[in-house]
Amino acid sequence: MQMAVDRDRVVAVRAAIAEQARLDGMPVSVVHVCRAAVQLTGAEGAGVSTISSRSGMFEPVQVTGPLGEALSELQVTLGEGPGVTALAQDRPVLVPDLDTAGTQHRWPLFASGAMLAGAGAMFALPLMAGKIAVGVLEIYRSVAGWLSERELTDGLLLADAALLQLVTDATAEQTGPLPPAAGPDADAFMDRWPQVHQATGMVSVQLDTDLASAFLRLRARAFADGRGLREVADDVVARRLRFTPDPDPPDSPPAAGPAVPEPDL
Amino acid sequence: MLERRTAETFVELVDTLVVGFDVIDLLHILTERCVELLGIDAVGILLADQRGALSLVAASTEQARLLELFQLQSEEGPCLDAYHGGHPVSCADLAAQPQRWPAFTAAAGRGGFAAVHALPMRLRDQRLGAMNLFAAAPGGLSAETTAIAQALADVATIGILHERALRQSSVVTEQLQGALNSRVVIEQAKGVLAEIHGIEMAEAFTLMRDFARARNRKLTEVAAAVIDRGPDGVELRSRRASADADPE
Repeated sequence: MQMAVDRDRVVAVRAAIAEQARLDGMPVSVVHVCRAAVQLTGAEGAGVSTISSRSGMFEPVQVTGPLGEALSELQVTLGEGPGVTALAQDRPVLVPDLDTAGTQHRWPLFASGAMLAGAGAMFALPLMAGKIAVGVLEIYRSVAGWLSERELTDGLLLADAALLQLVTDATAEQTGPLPPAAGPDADAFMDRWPQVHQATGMVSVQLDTDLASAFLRLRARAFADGRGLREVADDVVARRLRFTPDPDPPDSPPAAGPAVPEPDL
Repeated sequence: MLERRTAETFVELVDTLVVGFDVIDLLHILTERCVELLGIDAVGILLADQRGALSLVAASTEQARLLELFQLQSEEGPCLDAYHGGHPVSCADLAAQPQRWPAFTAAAGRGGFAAVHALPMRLRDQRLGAMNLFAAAPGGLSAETTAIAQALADVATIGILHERALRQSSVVTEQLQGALNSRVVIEQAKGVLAEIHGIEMAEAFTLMRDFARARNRKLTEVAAAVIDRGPDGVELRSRRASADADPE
């Protein structure tokens, strides 16, 4: 069991998502994260679900594979399941065996339906960075059993990728497309450096906005300046840099960034 | 006196475990008590993130230089070695061994620390992370002090893993990822309060921590309320007075 800084897996996960997008001939989107999840975790399906901002209901954003469709639909219909619990409690819910008394006690309706659909195991990983919580990545398997250490690590990295993708998509609807993240700070959401999160909180006050939007502004600024996210965050925390709610501020992202080969993570 | 305070600390930790405990609160208490009891200058705890790195989850002080020191240890340092090896790692005089962890030793010197001791947090084959003890003056820890420190770390470890987790490693992952995310919530809330009140991050943290203790709230809940503008959060956003001075 080796849990050193695992840059190899970051690179591998990023490459798997990029490959799925390349096969599709499309820019990276949540569907490519799901397909990469299937490939990397030996699963029969994967999906991303969220809580609808309109209805407040559990709602699939993207699902791959028949098993995924069945389990996702069950959760929507019944309002219970590992994904629903993970979203409610902001933490991973890992169910290596759906056919146990514990599972049936926890989600009585979902467990029997999932068994009928041919599911053996399900792993729900919330898409979150602190209070930025936008959904859940679900991994579905027909056979009961644990994710290996490597598969779990990959799953969490894939959840980070899906989080960034959803946040970026949501903001693009309001403000137009933002440049993709690039360079060593592309993996911002797994960034252990607290100043990024502190700066996100500060910018959310400066712009009177939510944390996700504040984070994207930070990231766009880093991109526009060709600097690392952490450097920009340091400047915010040290009060050398402020953001203004002005619609056309100098810190707005460039209209078109240079082509970036790496996908979002 | 030391014995009595030590006993009281164990009771306090166990109480925390019994009454709907929060991992972050538990670990903060642990770091503060270690400073009081063990005659050292600073303590920090790093837990392993399943993504593959050690993250700082609690520190006895929020001093920036100290935090930098902990962060560095996701790459090199005694905490990382103690975590991987599963055994205590000690350096009584960092200046005498500058090559052991070059970047870490240099940062420790800038931060005013001369000696460091790291204790693993593990139970059987479950490795959670490690606890770091820093001293401003060079010198080793006595066998007794080391034993007390390890016992305190062990109580916290067992608390986090508790008996369910011993049978189910999924619960460990669920709890640990939750705790690590709580730390991110706290950092975000520190940023919010620092900006609103024009204060430093360390002060923003103290504000939340003192408020949480005075009101008997979990630190993570208070941090979340600051961000979501819950009742506690509105109060912390609107006034800067320390909860210490609260008349209630």
